[in-house]
Amino acid sequence: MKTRACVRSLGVTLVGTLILAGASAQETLPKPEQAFSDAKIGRTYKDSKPGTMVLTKAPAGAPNVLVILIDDAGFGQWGTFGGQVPTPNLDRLAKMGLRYTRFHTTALCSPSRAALLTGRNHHSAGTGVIVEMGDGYPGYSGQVPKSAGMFAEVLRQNGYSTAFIGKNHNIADWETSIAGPYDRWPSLQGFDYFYGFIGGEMDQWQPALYRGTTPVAMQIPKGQEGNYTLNDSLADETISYIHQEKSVTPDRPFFIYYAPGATHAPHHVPKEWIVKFKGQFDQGWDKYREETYQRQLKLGVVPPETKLTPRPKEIPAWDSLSPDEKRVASRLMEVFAAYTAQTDYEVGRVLDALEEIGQLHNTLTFWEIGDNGASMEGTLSGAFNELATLQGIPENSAFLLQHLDELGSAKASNHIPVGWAWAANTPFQWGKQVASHFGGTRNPLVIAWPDRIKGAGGIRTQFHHVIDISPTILEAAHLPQPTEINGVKQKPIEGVSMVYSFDDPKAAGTRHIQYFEMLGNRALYKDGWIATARHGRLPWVTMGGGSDFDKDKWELYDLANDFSEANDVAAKYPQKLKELQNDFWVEAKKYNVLPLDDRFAERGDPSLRPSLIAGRTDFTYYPGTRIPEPSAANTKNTSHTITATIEVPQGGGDGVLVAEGGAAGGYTLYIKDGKPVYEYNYMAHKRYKLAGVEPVSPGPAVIRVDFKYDGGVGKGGSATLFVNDKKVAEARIDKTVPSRFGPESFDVGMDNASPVSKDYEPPFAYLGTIKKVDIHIAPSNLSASDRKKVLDGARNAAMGLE
Amino acid sequence: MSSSLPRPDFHFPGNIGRTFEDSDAAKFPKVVRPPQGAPNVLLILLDDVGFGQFSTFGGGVPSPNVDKLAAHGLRYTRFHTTALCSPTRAALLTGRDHHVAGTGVITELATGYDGYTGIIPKSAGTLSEILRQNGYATAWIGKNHNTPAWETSEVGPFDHWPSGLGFDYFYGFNSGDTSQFEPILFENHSRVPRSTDPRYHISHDLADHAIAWMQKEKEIDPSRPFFLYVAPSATHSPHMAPREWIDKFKGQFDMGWDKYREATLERQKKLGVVPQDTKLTARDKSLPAWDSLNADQKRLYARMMEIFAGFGAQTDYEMGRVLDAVAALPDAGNTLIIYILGDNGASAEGGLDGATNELAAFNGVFEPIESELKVIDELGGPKYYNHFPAGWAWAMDTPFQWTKQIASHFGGTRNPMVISWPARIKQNGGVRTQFHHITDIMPTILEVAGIHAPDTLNGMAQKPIEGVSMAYTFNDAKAPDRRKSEIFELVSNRGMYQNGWMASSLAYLPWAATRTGYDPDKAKWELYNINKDFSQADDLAAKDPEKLKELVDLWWAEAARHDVLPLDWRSVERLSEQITGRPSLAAERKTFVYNTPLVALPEGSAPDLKNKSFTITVEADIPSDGGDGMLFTQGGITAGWGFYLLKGKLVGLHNYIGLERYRAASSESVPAGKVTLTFDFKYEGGGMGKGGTITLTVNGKKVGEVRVEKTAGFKYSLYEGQDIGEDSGSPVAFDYTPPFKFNGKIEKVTVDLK
Repeated sequence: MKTRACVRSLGVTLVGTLILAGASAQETLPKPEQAFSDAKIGRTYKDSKPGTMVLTKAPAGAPNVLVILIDDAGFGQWGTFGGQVPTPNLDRLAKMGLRYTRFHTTALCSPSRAALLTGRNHHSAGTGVIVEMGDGYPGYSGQVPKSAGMFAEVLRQNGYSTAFIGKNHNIADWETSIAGPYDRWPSLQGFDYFYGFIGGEMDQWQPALYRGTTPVAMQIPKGQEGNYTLNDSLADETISYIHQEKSVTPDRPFFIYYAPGATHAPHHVPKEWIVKFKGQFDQGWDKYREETYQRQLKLGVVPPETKLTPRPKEIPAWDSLSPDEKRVASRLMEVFAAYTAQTDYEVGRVLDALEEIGQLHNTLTFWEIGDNGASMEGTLSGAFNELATLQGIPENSAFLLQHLDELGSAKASNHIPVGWAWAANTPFQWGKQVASHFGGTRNPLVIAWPDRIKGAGGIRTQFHHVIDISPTILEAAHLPQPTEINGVKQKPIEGVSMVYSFDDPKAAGTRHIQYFEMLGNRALYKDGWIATARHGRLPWVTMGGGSDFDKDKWELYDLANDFSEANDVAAKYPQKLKELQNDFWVEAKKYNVLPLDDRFAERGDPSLRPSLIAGRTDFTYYPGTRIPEPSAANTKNTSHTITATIEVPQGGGDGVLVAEGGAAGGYTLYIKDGKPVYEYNYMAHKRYKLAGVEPVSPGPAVIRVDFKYDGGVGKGGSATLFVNDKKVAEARIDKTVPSRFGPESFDVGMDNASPVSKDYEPPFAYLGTIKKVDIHIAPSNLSASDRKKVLDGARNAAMGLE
Repeated sequence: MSSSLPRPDFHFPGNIGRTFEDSDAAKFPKVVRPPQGAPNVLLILLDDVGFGQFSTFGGGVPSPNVDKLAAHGLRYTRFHTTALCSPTRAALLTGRDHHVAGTGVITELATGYDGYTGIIPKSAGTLSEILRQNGYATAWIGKNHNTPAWETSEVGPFDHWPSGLGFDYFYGFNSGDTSQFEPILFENHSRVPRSTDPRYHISHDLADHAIAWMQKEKEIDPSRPFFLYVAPSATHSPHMAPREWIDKFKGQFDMGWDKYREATLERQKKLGVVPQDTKLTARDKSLPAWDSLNADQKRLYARMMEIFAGFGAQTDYEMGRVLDAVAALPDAGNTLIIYILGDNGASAEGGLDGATNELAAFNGVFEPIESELKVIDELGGPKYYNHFPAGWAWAMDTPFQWTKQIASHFGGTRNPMVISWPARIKQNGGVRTQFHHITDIMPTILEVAGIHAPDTLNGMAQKPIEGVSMAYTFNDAKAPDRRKSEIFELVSNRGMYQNGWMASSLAYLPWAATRTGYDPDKAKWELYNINKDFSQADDLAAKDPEKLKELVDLWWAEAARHDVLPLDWRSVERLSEQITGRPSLAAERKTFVYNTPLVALPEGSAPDLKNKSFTITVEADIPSDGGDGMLFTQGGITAGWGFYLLKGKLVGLHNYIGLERYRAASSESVPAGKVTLTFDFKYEGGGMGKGGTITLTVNGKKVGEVRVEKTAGFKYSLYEGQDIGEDSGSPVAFDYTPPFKFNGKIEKVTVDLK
């Protein structure tokens, strides 16, 4: 019985694949070189006839393709799917297209993105978890294998122009620096153009960005200072890319993968948006869920018999909060709602631009609301600086209250509390990370293509998954999935096309089985049933983990009658549950999900992975350097010396000599008013400053910081500042950041993106000459338990940055 | 053993159970690294440089930095190129004959024959791609003249950009030449904003970028070797250099080209870079003797040479900074430096009188010397696209006959080369005389890195590499030649080298305007015994017809084998897309709509405004304090069109190859708010390069008109294209300063071709 079920499910998947492959002849890419069969070659041009040189053209009727992927968003967040945040632009697209109400992701971002881009399950694409937690098992390397080629490359080699604008969280830590290798950067994965950031999240006000592989600063148009965030910039870039393509090559279709950093933390948004939501969330999250649920019923995006799932006991009731806690939580949600509304507006500008030049009707647009459910990583009370809370550095509500007006601004890195994330995932249980339940995995999707999709404004209820996007696009563009790309044999596509559903709301779904797994949370969907097992740790608990997989409690839901996973029928249908549990192992084996692994600290250990800094104690850097934090000299939890050898210009000159991190935490060594300053920014909670009294004389100078560490994890130490070996300042630093300053970089000669210090405006480039900056690190002698603490912190920070 | 790249995906070798507890420990794939000891490689390739140009090989342009490198390495005196730039560069990158690499000629002249597509085929995979996939960091700084002309715009496709040819990083330009002061540069796939430094010069910028890239690679990942390809625009025209460099050479070339050659050969003998019995080849009768020139000619030509020498000396200095940066690396000793002085011989493309605007010749116009003399003091600066006269090019190629393009003779193909590698090359300051060719660089680098070229690369079976490694010469000056033969062909100039003999057949004079009347079967062949006659001074064709016939027959056989056929000596016709059938992004379109400020669109991808009537319509929002800035332009100082607002007034203009600027302007300021502005050109017809009338309107009302006597009928610029909303390269007129960004908002620009 068990075996037959497996065989059947396998058969279904295989049939899906075969149909796809059979859609046209097998193809390998690159295509064979152009043979000039019509050329006639004699001795000279007079007795010869040249061959025809043809440009590669996309198949006739191949549409433009725009894939918009919003970050960290729940099913009940956007107005179009019943959320309280008005999203008129998503409404507009839904009116000209279709709303998909049973579309699923992997519950985490690198994995969902790898699955989206490759059409393979996340483990099959080497991305079972975020890249920062990769290990050497095939499903978890953090490196998308070449045998799982991205559809961007297929489109590119078939005459599309291709762009990737926004978040790229699919490059392993040790490959994110400009030292490459670039095999897993967009330029070698099929994208002509990349503009965006690398990593899980980014400061929206002062982002660290790349154009192609070049670090760049965000250009803020004149007059928009203080009002212009990464969301604006990504929309502007997308629009100008569209304009450029369509003016120079109007007949060539484009594919744009547009992945804003929103609405992932930090929830940064201009004040004018925040004020619109003042007082609108005072009802609290319990009420919000009820209201949202009613709206969803009314909109028809959930079936009439849907039940609202109850609040897990681990999340406090709104009414149990103190007035101060309520004030903080409401404000955090107002900012989050503003951020959501602004995101909708910015995407809307891109749709406007397409409409204006008459291209919207011929564009197949996917607008996916979330790569996973809303994030519960902001802890129960929410965060002013999410990186602090993730590394176990607490923020109480008194602290949060003090900073209420700064939320959303460049000074904060704020995140909503768990309760609001849960509410944003209405009507489901749980949220991001929790792949066992729809709160983590069910995300709204709108597809529009006016030229091809009739029945505008319709709803589609077929069960689908993020891996189905890729085959849908290839089918729409009339392109076969190649069996080989650039010399590498391709694994079969694991997704199934959704094109069949465009014209027929009642068409039987073609996806019959789908596994889910994330950090040990797991589920198996099959023909209307889903078995789920939430494993171990709560998503907002930052330490711990590790428990017996066989002791997890399994639930069973009959989805045909239970949209929201409200009635656990495990006890009623033990046979069905058993069948699905067995299927889970079959699928897990097939797609590299094994071995299941819920270790955190151990997996956070960088020595498991290739590293550019492992074993090095001495580093020399030159001006202009910008390196991602994980690839730069690691000065944390150890004594170290930073030595800048410079030439001070006549009349002095200010600027940053070396800086790491940004507004959320970091250190910076700079010259201001001619005087040297070392400043340590402890998670934006406290700043320590050592400043010389005398200006540094013009000519050669050596500025040095000696930091003597007390030992342990995140402890203090004493810092001494020297100019030409003469001590000029000294101070205690009580506490240091144990694991990660943030998503920014290590910079020489300036402070890119957001500033570490409030005393200057970035980039504050040094006006003199920096010969070099040497960093020496005392070898670390942390105890095993301390080491684990650091790793836990790093992993949690990475998780947050995810 | 058959091999292929990329490597297969990593497969975990251990056992995997249900959970981590019953699985073997995880293990990452090893990061790919080249074999132990593989050196860093710095490859410098200068542009348009003769054998007798720089002091290291006896020339009159001091090159202390190459001298220093040569003192710590080896000078190669019988090293050869293809006589033209795209071809030499394709041969360098692929290790295949330039025709086999699809690049028998420059990309702008491509035709639909295998040897001439202008597209490096994927079956001729590049050195850089192989190094990259074997763990090298790879960068290309400078000139890229290997992307098909119709693919050089910012919309790609990018298969044939450096990123598609195996380079992690590119910073440079996609054209045959560029203004040295106002280049159009790309970083990877994106245009680099114009520099705001008033002292900007591209050679300095390229050196800075080469140094920065190298340092960053080493600071982040010191254990990883790099391959850095630096290809400056120098000393290709336009000859533009900082004034202080030019001034160093005041009066130094008054002796003229005939004397220069004699003095250079003496120095060459003294240095030992030519054998003591080397003869100075004679001046062709088509070139004037220096003594036959009048005082004006002498004054102009000498000045042009001073500028060229200043440009060359500055180039040496800037490349010296790159060499110094290498010397400061922790693993400097294990860096293989290959410094090739020229991708072909010095260029005679300036014609007998030189030119203040190289593009004049491309439009079939030769300037009278009087008009050149008028601007003599400004030559070498940003306003003129000057090129020295053919006589000096010939002198730069001492002791050989002929120049660039002439693949039959060493004046076109023999270029100095210096190789240094402290860790491996023992002899300092040595000379190597083995006969080698640009295709030999790739196998040399692969051999010393311990890397085998794959049979299949990125899914494509590879044509054999044709070069021969030169590593055997590093420590053996007397090692017998391993390269036995080489075919040369460039625009029908032919040469066949085999075992010390060389047959040479010139197709046309490089300074002649016309190539008609050529017949490959009637063209004269010469024969040289290279082993005894270093400079090709004694033609033995009459003495040894048997040997000649053997080489000529071999030439045809090799030509057939290397996609050299069909021979094609046409010039302007090959520039035409209509005649050649070359793809173009603008072909067959009559209406072009631009919704966004768009800059640096290459001329070949922009609407072709030549020899026809057209209308440019700009819908714009003019600010209340008056409009100012560029609306639409094609070209720059060399020729082109400008449509702009200057302090409120509307201006429309044609720059006729720098000789004349026909300008219409409104007398009233254009009103604030939304306006429609048009630039209408009515072409008179009657052939190419004829005149017409420019009419300007504001909201349908005529505001200005000018008659244009003559237009540039063939080409506006080799490097800059069309800009909307600013002027990204050089200015089309001198009444504004680029970038001259428009201060209002452009809603839409429409170009209608009639």
